[in-house]
Amino acid sequence: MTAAIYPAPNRPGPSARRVLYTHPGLAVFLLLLPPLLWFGTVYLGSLLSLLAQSVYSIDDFTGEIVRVPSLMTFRALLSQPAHLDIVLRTLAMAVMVAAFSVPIAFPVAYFMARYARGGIKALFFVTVMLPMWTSYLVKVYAWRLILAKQGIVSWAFDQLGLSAALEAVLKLPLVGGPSLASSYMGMLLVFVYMWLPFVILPIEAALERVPRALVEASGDLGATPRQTLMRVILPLAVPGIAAGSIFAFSLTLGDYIIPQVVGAPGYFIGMMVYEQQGTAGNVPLAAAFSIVPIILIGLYLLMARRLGAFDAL
Amino acid sequence: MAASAVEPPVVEFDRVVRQYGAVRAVDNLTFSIAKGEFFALLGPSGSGKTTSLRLIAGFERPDAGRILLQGRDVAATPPYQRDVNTVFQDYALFPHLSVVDNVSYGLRMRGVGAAEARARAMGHLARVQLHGLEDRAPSALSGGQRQRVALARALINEPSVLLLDEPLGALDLKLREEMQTELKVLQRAVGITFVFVTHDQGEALSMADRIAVFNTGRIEQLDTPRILYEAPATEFVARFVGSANVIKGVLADRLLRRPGCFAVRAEDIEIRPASGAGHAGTCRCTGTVIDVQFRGSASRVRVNVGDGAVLHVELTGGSAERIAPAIGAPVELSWPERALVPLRESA
Repeated sequence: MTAAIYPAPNRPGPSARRVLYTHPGLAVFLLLLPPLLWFGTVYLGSLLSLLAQSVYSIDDFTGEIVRVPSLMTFRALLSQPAHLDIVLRTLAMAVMVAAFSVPIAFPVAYFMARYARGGIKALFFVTVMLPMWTSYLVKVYAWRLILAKQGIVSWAFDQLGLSAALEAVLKLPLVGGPSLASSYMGMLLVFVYMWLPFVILPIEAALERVPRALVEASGDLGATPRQTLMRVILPLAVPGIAAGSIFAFSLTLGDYIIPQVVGAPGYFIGMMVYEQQGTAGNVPLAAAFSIVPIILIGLYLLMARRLGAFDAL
Repeated sequence: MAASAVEPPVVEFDRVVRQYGAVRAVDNLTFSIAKGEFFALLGPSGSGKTTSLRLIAGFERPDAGRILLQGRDVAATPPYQRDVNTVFQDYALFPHLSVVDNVSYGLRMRGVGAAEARARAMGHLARVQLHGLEDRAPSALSGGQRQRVALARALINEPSVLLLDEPLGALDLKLREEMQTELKVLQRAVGITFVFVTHDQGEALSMADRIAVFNTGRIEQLDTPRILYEAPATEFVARFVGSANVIKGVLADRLLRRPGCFAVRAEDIEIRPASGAGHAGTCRCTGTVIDVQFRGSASRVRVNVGDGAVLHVELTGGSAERIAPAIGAPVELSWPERALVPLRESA
């Protein structure tokens, strides 16, 4: 009777269970094995095999890939001014997208984290994420129509009698163009729109983690709301802001659709990779171009860490 | 006391209401706190004491009534313009600032230069015995040290009122007792009015000059600790402050042979083995011991006096040993007539 209720502690059980219980490290290893195999071979493996192509080169006469390790391809990448232009163009756009996304995302994230409650908060989350549930291509082409010369933006400016202002802005060197749809300004707009959810959400999460008591304590000690924002809320939200801007930066670096559909002519890194490994058949050069964003993102992270963005983590 | 006639109270509540939906967290409160007082707001959680504190700080605004600080209506004064500072329950130290930057924060916000603010903060840190820790992060401090930083930070602006929201709640017992004494000494030294929220009646009794006992958004009684303990006005105060026995209704009819509601403190009841002998001039009854709780300096005995009614008896060291009641033993309880405190029944 008692034995049934309180089984003897040293009852012999299935030996596998006992082994796993006495070797917790083994249990963790077995649990992690399938995802590690998947991640390691399928994901990292294919990436590394692509990047490894960059040390090969292409024979200019035959068009054959020469499978002898050399730095020829990198020399080709760095020596041609056109290639450097592509890198600089992409980098400049990525920096601008990150710089414009954060000031737009912060107030939205701030409202979501500190003021929105219940249904309003849910509504905000759904609205922020809704664009991510629709087709990427549809959104890009929709923007092209919106920004076109006969599009709704021009029409709205027309109706307001402000076409002259739009014309003046489009006449600006570098950022302007024949229409918004074919200018860097339009491209920036679309990039910012596309990545905004990825910037808002980490900032929102960071602001959510700032205890209300800290904001109250700051006010209690005599800080005006503006001082509280600058001295307490912003510093504590920096990791989220860094994460959001890294998303905007890296997603822009890798994109090859938006620059094809919207904006001024001119290649971006992603387009170059797409074309070199496809129509041009120069896989080594495509691989070399793929390494550029990785290096740039690495530098960006390094800089963010230098500035103390991750100190609070 | 003559001065208080001229000088307005530091804090004054005038029919203040604060409502959350259908619940009145603070229900038509009127009271005032004099300059230099150590004032405690005592009550169980949800009784409105913390809301009252937050109303003084300005984190909440009253739905009705007026709050005056030093005679001035503060209805339109945001927290950062009030001459009031707060020690928060979990201290709310800024995690991204060092200890000294936390303490000097209030001065910096008021436009004091960096060097002077740091020097003054160092002085305040020395006063709470934290010199040498100024460049640490708050996360590298112990609970007691954080508490001192929070105190120094709140006192640096020399407010007319210091609000303390359960400041000792997160500390262990020994440290809590030390801090009680220290806070009391500090309050006398700086001469600032302290308003202190606590749910611990022992803490309130030992520290406060006056205590407001809160229940369901109202003040049940506002008096000095001694009066609260010896002459509780209501059943709630008797139970909450003195953990007294409350005898009312059928039990009062049976034990006291009169209607009403009365308090008898556990230490006023005498216990002895059942003998049947009467004692002149005392009330008495019989019962059986349910259990005995040893508490070091005293023992607490619970006695079943019939019909499910239980009376608590407190025995101090010596008498506990002499009587040593056994569980289940029949005993006789008696108390002098003057130990009975008539009570108003709480709502």
